[in-house]
Amino acid sequence: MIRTEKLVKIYQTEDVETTALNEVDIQINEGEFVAIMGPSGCGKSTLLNVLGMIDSPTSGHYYFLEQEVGGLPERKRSNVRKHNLGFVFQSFNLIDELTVFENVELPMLYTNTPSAERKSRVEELLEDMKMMHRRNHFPQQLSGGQQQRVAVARAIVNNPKLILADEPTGNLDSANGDEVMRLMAELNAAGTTIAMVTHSQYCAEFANRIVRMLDGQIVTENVVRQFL
Amino acid sequence: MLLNHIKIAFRTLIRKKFYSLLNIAGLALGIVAAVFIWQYVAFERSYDNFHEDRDRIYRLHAKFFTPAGQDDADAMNAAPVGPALKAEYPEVEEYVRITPEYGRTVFRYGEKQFEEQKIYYTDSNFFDLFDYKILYGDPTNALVEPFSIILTRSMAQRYLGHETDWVESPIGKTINVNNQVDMKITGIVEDVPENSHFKFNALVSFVTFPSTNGDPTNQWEWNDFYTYVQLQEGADMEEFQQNLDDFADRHLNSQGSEEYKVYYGIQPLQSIHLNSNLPYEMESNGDGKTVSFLLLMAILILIIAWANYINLSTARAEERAQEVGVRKVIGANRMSLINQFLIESALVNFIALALALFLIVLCQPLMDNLVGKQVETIFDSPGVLFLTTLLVLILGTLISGMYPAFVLSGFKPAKTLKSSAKGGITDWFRLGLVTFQYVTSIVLIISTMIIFRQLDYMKNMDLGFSIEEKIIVNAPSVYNDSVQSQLFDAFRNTLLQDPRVISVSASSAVPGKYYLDLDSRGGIRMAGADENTAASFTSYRIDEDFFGTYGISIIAGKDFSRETSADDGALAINRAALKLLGFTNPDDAIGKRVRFQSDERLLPIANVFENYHHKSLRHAYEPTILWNHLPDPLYYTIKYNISSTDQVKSIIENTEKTWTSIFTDNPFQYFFFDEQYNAQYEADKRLGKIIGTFALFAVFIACLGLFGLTSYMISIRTKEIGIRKVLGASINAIVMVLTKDFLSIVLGSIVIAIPLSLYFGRQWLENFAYKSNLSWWIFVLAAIIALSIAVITISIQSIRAAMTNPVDSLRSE
Repeated sequence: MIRTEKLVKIYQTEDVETTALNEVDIQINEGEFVAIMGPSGCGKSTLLNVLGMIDSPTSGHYYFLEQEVGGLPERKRSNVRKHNLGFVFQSFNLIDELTVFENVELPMLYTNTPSAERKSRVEELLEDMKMMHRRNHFPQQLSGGQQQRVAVARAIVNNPKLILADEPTGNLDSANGDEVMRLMAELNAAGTTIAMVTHSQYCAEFANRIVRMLDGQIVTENVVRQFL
Repeated sequence: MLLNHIKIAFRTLIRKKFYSLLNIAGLALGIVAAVFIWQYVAFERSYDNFHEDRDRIYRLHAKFFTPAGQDDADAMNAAPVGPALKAEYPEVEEYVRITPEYGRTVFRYGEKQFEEQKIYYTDSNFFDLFDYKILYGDPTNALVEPFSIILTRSMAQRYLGHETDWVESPIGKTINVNNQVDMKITGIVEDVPENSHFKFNALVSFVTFPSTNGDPTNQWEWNDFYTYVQLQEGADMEEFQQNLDDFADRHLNSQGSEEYKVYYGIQPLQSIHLNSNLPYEMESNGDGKTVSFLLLMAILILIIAWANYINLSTARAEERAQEVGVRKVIGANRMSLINQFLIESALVNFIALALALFLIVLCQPLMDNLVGKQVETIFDSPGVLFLTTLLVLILGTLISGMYPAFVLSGFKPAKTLKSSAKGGITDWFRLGLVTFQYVTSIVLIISTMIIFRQLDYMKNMDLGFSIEEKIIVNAPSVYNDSVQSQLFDAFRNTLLQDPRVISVSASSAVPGKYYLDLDSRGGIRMAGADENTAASFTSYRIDEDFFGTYGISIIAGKDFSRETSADDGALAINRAALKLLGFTNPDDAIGKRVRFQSDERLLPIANVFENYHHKSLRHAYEPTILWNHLPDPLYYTIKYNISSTDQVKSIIENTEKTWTSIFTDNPFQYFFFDEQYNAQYEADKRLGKIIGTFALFAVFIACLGLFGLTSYMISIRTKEIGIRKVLGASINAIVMVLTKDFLSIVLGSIVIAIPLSLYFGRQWLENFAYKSNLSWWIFVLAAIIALSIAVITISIQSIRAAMTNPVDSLRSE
């Protein structure tokens, strides 16, 4: 599903040049659950952003579903993104002005999904996430775990082929973190490919494969368990 | 999607109440100010637009040339000009002449008797050119017969009672004028619209004029007639102007003096009100430059308000950055985000507009009071209202929303989702906007100060005569000259029995009043002098008590007396006239004779008087000759001396009593001289008030913006403030850190604003022959005002921020 060749990302500020990704080759197959680990500043979030097409590589190739997307203009990337990708963030990133229902519904607005379909799909997901009773609440009125469940619901509402999660449990206590990881595992079991950045070995254990990074490069890849 | 955008716009608005309020208040006030000014400007520009053939109608004016160039001009010219033009040039389709009745006119109908002004004679085809609405009578023949008169509705109602009570048509009724002639009412017109450069109360058929004033048919130098021509459709104005030069050469310049030439110019009807300021205008016209300045001011205030929105929205960008990131990540493209932010801007603009319309309705009477006339408002026509609101909404949405929309929608999600975009005052665009706001505000503050300083200067200037303790009564009209003169003596002597009355004087004009009372006499020279030395002088007629009553000082010769007024009378000349007549020493002129009207009338100079300001200080001293020969005065001036103001009332009562017993058939009409004289500056005072008021608007709106911006800057610097305090910074030091950026902007604005206001100030002062100087303290004072307002606005919040417990500010991170 995903294949990169010599992916490089360099951040340039006035006098400092930082190589965040240094010739990264990574392949993620359909149905895999890959955890990306490494110390702070090793480039894992940058890799996730590039894979998620919210940042573009400085050089190298990025093939998504066999199509080169590394050099696509923003408009086309945005189109690929909205139909194929879902994102989960450490800080949830729900929109404060929208209710739970509206937050989950938002991606479907961008894909022009008819209203009735939106309603039934959002309700279905909120039922699954046990958030139906909170549908009219605003993000500030929810606990962290609840917010992340809503964020996960929002990430999968358009049935994306790939979910990119950046420290999804980073802001949660262990009970809530556990629940979110279980959710991710369920989604993966149902066929969604997941790439997740994490610091936590515990969370990484939920994945099929762990990729370790250091100084912008992939250093090891361990298979946690054979993916089915 | 649209619904989602509107929803989020609303919720953002409600969640950020403080900023929303600042934004809406600023925009609403800006719109109110701009609409008010626009209404006034549009009204000033609408003069004479109700005449259907306005594009083909021109007014002729006379231009007088000496070898040195154009010497003088006159909005009026001679009666034969119109007929000759029509006869000689096919492009002249029609002409209409209008001339005022100069004397007093007292109308009487039954028991009712009033003195009336603005009575004009005009040609019978008046209504072919001009579209004043006729209510009764036939416009085609109402002015054909001699002694026919058309009244305005208001004037008719003064005599005939309220229109609803008229049992029969007023047409054919007769109204008596000055106890001398009966005029037949042949028409009633609607009151003249405020936006007409020609305002009349009654029109008398032109054929009546010769019987009361003499026949002007062949008098080419009798310049007392306004001439309007209607040109053929498609006629070339420039070509016609050239024809006019040829016309003047043939009719006037070939016969007259080699040195002194007259030419005619033409003015499009619609440009008279704002662009014509000739001697002897019908009304004191508006000023095109002022109107353009006001329009500029309206636009600037609106931009100040929009700039607030841009500033506050982009400064708060970081709050929205995360949202933008999320939306982009889940599929929003830039266009959809731009739409979203434009919808927010539209919503804010819409609410502000609604509030503004409400405020406009509420404050319209205040505005009418400020500009001194009831202008047409945008509510008077649904079309204008719709277009204005739509335009303001669309422009406001685009101008205020576009920049923030582009900035916000351009955020890169990869960055905004992790760290925050920094919004600071350092952004050059925002810096430019704040500077612009302050420059405009300071220019307006200084302009207001310049105007009021000039007014003050004029008020305190030595006018060359005393302005206080005088009332002026309109002289009676219904007697023949000798009777009036006897009655005036009786009137004066009776009044002088009151010890408080110092003197009583009669004259054909008084300073500062209606310039049409003045004569402009051309061809005057010393007896025996070369014909080419002849020049034009301003002139009017006075009695022996005039100089004493007005306190005008005589620098050579003797004051007029019973002797000088005998026979044809004698002359007094001012210093300016002395020079023009070729004297350097005043004493040399005394006793010399002046060819005043013709070779038969050589009048002696009895005295030379010091220049005084007959006209407002917009005008330089004019060479003036006063003639001690007064068969038909227009004004009686009563000078009194009282110890307390309560006595004024009893003086007026006494005067009225005396008046009614002597001038039995005349209404008693008086005014206070000082009020009348200062009324000349009414328009300037108004302009000062208008600009001052809207300068306040501008300053206030800019302050709202500054207030919002400061509070925002402080909110994002909370942590910095905490750290500084932990490290030992004092409250003062922190306030200084927070205010420094803003104060340097205000200081920079002052530097830019000063030369700009100097430019505008000088332009405006050009209107005055006597100008106050633009002292340095005006600019310093304006700078101090601007700086103080900014410091207060900023410190309110800086001090609060500096006083917070550092633990609170650090914990908030």
